[in-house]
Amino acid sequence: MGDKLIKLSIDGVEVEVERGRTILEAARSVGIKIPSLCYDPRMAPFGACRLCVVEEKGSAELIPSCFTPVRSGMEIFTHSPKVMESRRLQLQLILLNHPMICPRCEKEGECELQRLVYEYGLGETQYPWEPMVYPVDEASPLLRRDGNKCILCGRCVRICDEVQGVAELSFTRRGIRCVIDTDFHRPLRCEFCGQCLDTCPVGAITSECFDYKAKLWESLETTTPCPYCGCGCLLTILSKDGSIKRVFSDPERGFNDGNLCVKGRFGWDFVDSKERIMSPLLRLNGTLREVSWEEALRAVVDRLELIKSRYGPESLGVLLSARLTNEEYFLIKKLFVETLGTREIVLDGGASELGLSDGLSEVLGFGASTNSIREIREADALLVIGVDPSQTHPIVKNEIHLALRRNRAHLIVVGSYDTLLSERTKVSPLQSPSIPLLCRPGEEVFLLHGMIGLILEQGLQDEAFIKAHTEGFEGLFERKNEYLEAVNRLSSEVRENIERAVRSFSEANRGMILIGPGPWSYAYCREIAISCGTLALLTGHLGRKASGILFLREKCNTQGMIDMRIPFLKEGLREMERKIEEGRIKGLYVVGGSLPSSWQGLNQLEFVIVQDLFLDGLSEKVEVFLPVSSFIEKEGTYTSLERRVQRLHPLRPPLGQSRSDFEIFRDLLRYMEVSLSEESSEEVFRSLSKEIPSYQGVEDGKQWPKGEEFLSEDYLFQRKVKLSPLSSPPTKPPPEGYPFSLVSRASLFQSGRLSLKSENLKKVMEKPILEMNQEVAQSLKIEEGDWVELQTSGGRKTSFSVHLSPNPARGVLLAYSPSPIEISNKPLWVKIESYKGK
Amino acid sequence: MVRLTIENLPEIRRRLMPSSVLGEGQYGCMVCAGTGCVACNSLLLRKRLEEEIEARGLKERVKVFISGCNGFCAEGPILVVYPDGVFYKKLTPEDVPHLVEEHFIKGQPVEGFLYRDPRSKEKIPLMKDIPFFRHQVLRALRNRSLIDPENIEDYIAREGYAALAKVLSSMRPEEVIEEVKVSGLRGRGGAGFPTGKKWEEGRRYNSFPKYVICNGDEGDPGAFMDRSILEADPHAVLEGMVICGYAIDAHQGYIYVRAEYPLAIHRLTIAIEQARRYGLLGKDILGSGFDFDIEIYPGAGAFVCGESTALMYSLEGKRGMPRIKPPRSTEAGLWGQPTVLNNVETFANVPSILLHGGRWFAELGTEGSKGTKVFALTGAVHNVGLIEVPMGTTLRNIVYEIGGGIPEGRQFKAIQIGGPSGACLPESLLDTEVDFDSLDEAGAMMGSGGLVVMDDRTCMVDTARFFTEFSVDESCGKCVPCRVGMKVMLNLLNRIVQGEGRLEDIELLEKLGTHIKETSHCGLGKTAPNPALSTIRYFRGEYEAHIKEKRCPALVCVNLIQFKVNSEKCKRCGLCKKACPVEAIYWEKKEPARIDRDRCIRCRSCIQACKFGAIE
Repeated sequence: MGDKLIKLSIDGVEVEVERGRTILEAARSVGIKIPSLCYDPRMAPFGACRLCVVEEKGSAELIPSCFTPVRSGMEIFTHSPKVMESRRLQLQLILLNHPMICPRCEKEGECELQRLVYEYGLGETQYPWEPMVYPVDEASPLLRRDGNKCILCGRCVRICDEVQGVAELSFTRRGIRCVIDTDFHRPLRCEFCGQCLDTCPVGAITSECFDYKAKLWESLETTTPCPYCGCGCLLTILSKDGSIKRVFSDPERGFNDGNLCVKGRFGWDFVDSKERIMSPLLRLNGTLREVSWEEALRAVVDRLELIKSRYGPESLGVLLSARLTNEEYFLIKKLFVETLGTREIVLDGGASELGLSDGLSEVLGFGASTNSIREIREADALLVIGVDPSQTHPIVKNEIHLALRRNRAHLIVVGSYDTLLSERTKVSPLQSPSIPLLCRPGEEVFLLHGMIGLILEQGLQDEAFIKAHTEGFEGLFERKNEYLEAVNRLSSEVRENIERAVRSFSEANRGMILIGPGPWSYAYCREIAISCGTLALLTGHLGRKASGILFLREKCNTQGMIDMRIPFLKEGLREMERKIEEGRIKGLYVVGGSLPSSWQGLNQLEFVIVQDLFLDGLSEKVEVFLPVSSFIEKEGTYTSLERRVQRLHPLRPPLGQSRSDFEIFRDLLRYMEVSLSEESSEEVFRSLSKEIPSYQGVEDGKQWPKGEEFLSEDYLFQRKVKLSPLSSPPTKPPPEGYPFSLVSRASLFQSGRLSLKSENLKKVMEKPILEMNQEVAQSLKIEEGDWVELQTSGGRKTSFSVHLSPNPARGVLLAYSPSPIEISNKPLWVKIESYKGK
Repeated sequence: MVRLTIENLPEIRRRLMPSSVLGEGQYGCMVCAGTGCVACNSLLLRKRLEEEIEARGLKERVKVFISGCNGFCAEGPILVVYPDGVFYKKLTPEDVPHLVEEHFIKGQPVEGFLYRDPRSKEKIPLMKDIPFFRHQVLRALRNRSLIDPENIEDYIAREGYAALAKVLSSMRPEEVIEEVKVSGLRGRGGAGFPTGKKWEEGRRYNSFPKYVICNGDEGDPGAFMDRSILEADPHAVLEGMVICGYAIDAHQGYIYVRAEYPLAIHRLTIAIEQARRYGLLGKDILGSGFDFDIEIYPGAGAFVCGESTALMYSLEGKRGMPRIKPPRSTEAGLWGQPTVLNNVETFANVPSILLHGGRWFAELGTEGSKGTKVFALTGAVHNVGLIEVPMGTTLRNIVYEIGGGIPEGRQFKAIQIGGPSGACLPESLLDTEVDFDSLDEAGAMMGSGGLVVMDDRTCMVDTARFFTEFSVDESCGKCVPCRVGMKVMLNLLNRIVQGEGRLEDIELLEKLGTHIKETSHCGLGKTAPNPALSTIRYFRGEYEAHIKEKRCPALVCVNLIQFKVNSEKCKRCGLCKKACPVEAIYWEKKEPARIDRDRCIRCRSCIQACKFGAIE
């Protein structure tokens, strides 16, 4: 390390930094402030504002410090008279072309330009100037851009390109007419992540969601994890009198580096939705009426105890959402499993995710993400399967984008449709194009087996790694021809791609596999995880930084839910539906989940109890409704997909009479006279970390086990892991006459029940469309915008407007959820009944 | 056609030598087909010439060729007749029968079409004796008026690709770089970075692929050096690029040419296609096993794309905006890969350096600047055109010997060197030698080679305003000083030429100009204040006249002209009345003219018409 350190002096202070660091970074490392308007550490330096100039002893020229690397022995002065003079003039120039409307600018008080003007004490200017007029964009939803206030620092352009990989904004025109805009000044068609707004140093990019609400210094600042996907970004929420005024992410906290996606930044307003129910409801004489908590909880306990005594414990079904806290799951286990004795529990969307955990566990003895999200950027090969991070895990997408851009990483996509990230591999001729391995749902395992077969056949496996850490390789090797057979069934195009994929992945220095739950069942997910685990072992991509497996968990606490080890029905909702129809389940307790209204047997239930923010759809069957508080009104912890345990920090008391799920379960246990030693969620966390070894000693914001960012070889391979021959799951041929698989996918803007209640997100929500492979559409003479009517093999019909793209596999139709046709996350077989032009 | 190899190249060259092409008693007609002459109908001239020669049955004795730019554009269309090199100027298609009769049948040069020296008034029949050519030394333009740019064999015949053959057969890449270093060649694009050093850096980085880029985005108004080279001798550039590719271990080259140079693109396309066919580009060049290919990329019109990093962004399909350095392009250029970018003229110099040695090249020039430099000489001189002179030639020599001095008996006032952001140097600095360092000392710069001569009818404030406006329009908008600062400078200059200047404006201009030079990001911004700063430095009096006396001494700034006839100077000729488009001038024979200032539209027609400077 010694020779990589550079010594220099800044304002007389001796500084030692790594070679390659800039003068600005060196100065900041010792607390010396150099002003800059165009610098944001998330992006490469740009050198536009020229405010960061410094003077070097012995040099007549001023040096821009934001991109000039340190040299040994430099003597730098950051505030010499010459430097100050230059900065003052530079600020004067910026100010000349900036409207002096500060009192009515949303950024007033936080504006970086305003602060510098004040700090440098600018007076009147002698320079002649006539105000210029620049375009304003008021037509885009959520974001408003004012070219007049823009100082052209380019931060929005660069964050959109370098971090997001979207490149929606660009410098347009030249010289003094230069302005940042979209092509031809059309309204934005982007991810609406608001990262541009976040980085803008002045008030040129604002949002009506935050405008004229509260000044920073009047607000309460609370940092808490985001309630949407499993990434676990930290939100910094500014609130005033208990209402959210603005959301951003403090780059100093959380793994997400200050980055947020559209849902994190704008999707929080469901907490104040008018549809939220504020008091407990009980059905009395056929109608739901507001009652006291006492009455409601008594009614719940009565019903639970009644059916248990009448039909036995297994007659109670429980449907759980994956958005509860770890502490709440802990109480749930106590209440439903240990006290009431039921195991008829469905984890909403969780069965597939559990399948992944169980599968990986079987191979590695460890069933969660082995590495961290931030390591993705360092990988040079990425295999993405069963998930499109650009839609469901935007922050992971950013990381993949960084890996593509900085390392020219190879991207392999396995699933029913290609990810939008593949587009990004086409921007440079030196970037190897993404390798899509597209197939119908249910064929993915064959693709993975095919990859494994090819690795074995071509001898691409990492022998040393296999020898050191595994046993049973021979058994796997013997059956390589079986795996290769799977490949032979695929189209020649896919076969070619598999060859490329295998080479890319096995030759990579750092390979990562990112797995989502796909449209798959528990059992299928298990097979996927086993295959992926085997693939990682064969190629030696485990046990090191940026080499390993990440499970892209769907919801904010899917991982925690799995970690809490609640027994569950492996076939999930289908199994529960069947049991209700068969009359084996008599009562249903729904916690924050949604019941498919298509279920036939609901009328046979003796009761349905719902505990949620909202009461949707099933109201006529609900006996008791218990209103819960939202994520900003409660305590507890979430565990992110990278095993990071983060505490929730409430910024206001529960709204109306709502109570946290924690309180409700605690009270129910008390009503049932179960002795509970834990009072608060901290106490529960302490108990649960005793019960669950991996949670022992985990601090807030750190990852289990023991704060490990990635699981080292030492950790993973304390014993040799066993490589076993792979088994192929059975395949079902499509029912006669139903040639397409209809797959629903979450979109960037809509991913389920919370986003549906966000007025902000509704502004950018897509129309319900059906995405179809363009070549298939061409052969059927279907054109962009045509309406098609689909019929499912179950006989239901629905129509969609068609969008053609190269992304879906040939036999796959993609519907964005929520879609008019109610689909669970399992694929349906459909046929195209009819179609007509626009 | 055979593929050329290192072994068969000398033999094939011998067969193509000019001596074997033009036999005993034969004539060769080189019709200039540079852009200037083409615009003056030289292609029709060539057609008529061919027809006439055919009609007279002279086809065996007289061969007609086209050549690239001859350089003496002021006299176009130009025809040079070999073997003697008789120079004919300003020919029209109608002149052809007479010319053919006299020169090719009677064997007499046609007096009437020969060049006449404006000073000695003598006719000069041979090109080499004309002062415009006599003072030039041709290195980059070595094939001027000697080869047909659309025929690779002409180039091969004149030692073309011999340097490449030598390099590929007998030199290691390090030796090539050493030779270029010994030559002292510095980048001809303007900044003068040592070429050998650049190549050495490009070789040093071990990241592949690497690229070679030829910068042909010549954007300076009035400059046409690179265009002329590309049009006249495209293979010299290609050969230079392949040699560079070999030296740095690159296998792909790009030529970024302005889309406004269709003829250059056309000839480059032909040249590349021919070179590929002859095995001089593509796989296994000259049978040596070395692969290198070249693609043309037409630019999209932004001046700033001549800046090397902006050019690379543009090549990548992005907006042309300079990026920060480090890393230098030799480390991370095009697509983030090591890239050597040189200007057209730099590459054109490379083959002869490798063929004759770096020492031979370094014999010419000054201590710090070796070889020659091509300039586009324009403005108030007799001989407007493309010239090549040894480094160290004085500006005076260029203006008066090669340029033939100032026409119409006017006075020299200034010479602007270095393109739109170059400096204006006064008479007192005419003895400055053109080399990188002397020009730098004088507050000017070499630039890419534009030379604009101005006479006493030029207002220096207005000139500064004009070039400043160009820089304001062409600034990419990235950094504050160039984007806003230059616009402020323009506002100040505008107010001065409009008569609203204030005393402090000169100081404000100087302060701001210095600030812009100090803090701008790229070469464009760092030099953009030069026209204003240099005119303030050398012509301060004119600024003061504009501001204090509200007077434009050169009578250019219309707001500062009184449009009054000085009756003492008026010779009562009435030319001003004739010139006036709005009948605002009253004149009777033998009476001084009088201007009705209510009617006058301040168009300056009278000022231009008056030969006596009587209008003030």
